[in-house]
Amino acid sequence: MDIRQEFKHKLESLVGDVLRLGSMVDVAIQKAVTALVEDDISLAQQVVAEDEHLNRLRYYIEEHSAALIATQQPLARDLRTIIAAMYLATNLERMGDHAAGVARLVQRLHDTPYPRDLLPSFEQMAQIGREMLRGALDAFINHDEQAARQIGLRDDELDDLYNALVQRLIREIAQQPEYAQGITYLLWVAHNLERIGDRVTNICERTIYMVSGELVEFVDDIGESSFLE
Amino acid sequence: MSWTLFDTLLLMLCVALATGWFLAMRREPPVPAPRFAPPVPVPAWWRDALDTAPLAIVVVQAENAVMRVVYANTSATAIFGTPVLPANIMVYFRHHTYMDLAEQVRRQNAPIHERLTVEDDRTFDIRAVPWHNKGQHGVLFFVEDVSEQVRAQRARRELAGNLGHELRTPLAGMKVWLETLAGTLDDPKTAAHIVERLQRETDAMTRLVDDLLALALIESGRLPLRLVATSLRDVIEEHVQRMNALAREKGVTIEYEVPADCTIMIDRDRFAQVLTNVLDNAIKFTPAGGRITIEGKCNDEDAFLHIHDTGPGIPPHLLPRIFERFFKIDRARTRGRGGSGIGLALARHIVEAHGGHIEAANAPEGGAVFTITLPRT
Repeated sequence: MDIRQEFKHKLESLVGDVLRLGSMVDVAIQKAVTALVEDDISLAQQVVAEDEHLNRLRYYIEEHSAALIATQQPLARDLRTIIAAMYLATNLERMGDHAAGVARLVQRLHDTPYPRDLLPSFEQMAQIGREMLRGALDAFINHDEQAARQIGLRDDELDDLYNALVQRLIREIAQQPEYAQGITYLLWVAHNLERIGDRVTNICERTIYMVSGELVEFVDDIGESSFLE
Repeated sequence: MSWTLFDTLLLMLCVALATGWFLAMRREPPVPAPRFAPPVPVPAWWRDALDTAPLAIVVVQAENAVMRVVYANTSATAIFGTPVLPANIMVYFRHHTYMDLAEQVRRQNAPIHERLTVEDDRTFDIRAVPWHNKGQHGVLFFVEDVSEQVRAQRARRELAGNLGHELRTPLAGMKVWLETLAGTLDDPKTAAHIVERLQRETDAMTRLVDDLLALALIESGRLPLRLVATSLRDVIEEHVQRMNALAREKGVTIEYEVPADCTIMIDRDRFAQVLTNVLDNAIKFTPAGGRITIEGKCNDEDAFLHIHDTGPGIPPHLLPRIFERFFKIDRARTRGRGGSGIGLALARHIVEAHGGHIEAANAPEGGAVFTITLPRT
């Protein structure tokens, strides 16, 4: 195999590993929210335990990327792809941490009373986050700048849901103080799900940079004002 | 030593060679054609045969760490879409389980069988097998969509569990009453009261078993309907009279308004089960002092029945599930009301067997509304 062919193979393998990490994160988010809705402690423990696999794959991708840069000295789009892969791996691994965070809160919520009719909103947030994640990974592999821009804008949808949910949770604490502890845990669950959307927008920004070289920053609607209103 | 013309020409030649070499080094070498190709040229007739297979067949070729899908039949396209082949294994399958399995198969050089559940409650049976051919190697995937079988198995498990629960609850009550009866045989008044309670529990169990048998017959398509032209108003009148005792006991009134000239083709016994179950449900959820209104309408083709109660209504997110077997809005709240959770499922099946449909909604002014639509002929 000539040097160029070997480099192409290694680059393809690197992108494949990024997609693999993305799929593992997608499943982790789905399992964490299923554990929340079904109050399934063993599933939550599984998500926390499997977070280690995500961490390991993230470091493997970073090492693989660094080795490619050091030994192959890639240029232009190849170099941007490798740097993007490293950046995506970091953000995907952090999304895995948010899923594990939700799973840890599920374990705390198991013995804490809270109004369960609030749960569909969390399922909805997770669903949007997962759709954004899959769309962002598609945009990354297809070098689709337009799709990356569209998915980045979907974060507003998630932010609106988050803001509405936070307001509702605060109202519930005021009306049913006996549920204050459980609802506080739910606030953290909502925060973790909202952060997943932010991480996806980071991936979209990087994809746009990889394709066009343009630096774009999607504005996050979650600021201090939304908490103070 | 003087500078000659030859030296000048030699210098120019050197500069030209160096510039050419530099430019040649800067230009990227042409990208070689992909070496991935179907491992064996597949004849058209064999490809056609593979495309008729109901099983998804995907061929993955491996070269060092890179694995690519080089062939997928029509059934595979139906599951995994139509990425351009050859495609990286992760780009094609988009789920890490396939890559994990492929790596495991290559490591162990042995087949693996796994079941994977993904979005929308879809389950796949995956068989991954190693292949080797003239120095090439990879993994062959056979993937079967077994979602229907898995759902049916789960439904059977849930049915057995729910059935056990529904039968055990009245049986436990009967056991307690029988034990109490054994100790109060010398007190005829208490004994009579207990016998009455036992009678009521037995009636509830009989109703449950009847409903279950009817449901089983309908679901297996073996319920014959004896359709007879019937006055809609007569049917409603008869049922309101039958259910009035139960409603009065609860402090609920039932009112109806149905045109006298509307006839429908129904199996009276089966349609009676529909009305009993829907009205029984409305009475259960309507608080004392409340009202149930039955409004009938007819046009040339269809008859419509709106049954509106003044209860708390149905939580909107549960509306799509209200006609599921053994579904209860709130198990803790319905336990004391004697509901088995199959009445509305049975009602839906009977109405649909008549060619009609039943819907549940919440009225803007409050309370639940059940609408039954039946074809008149």
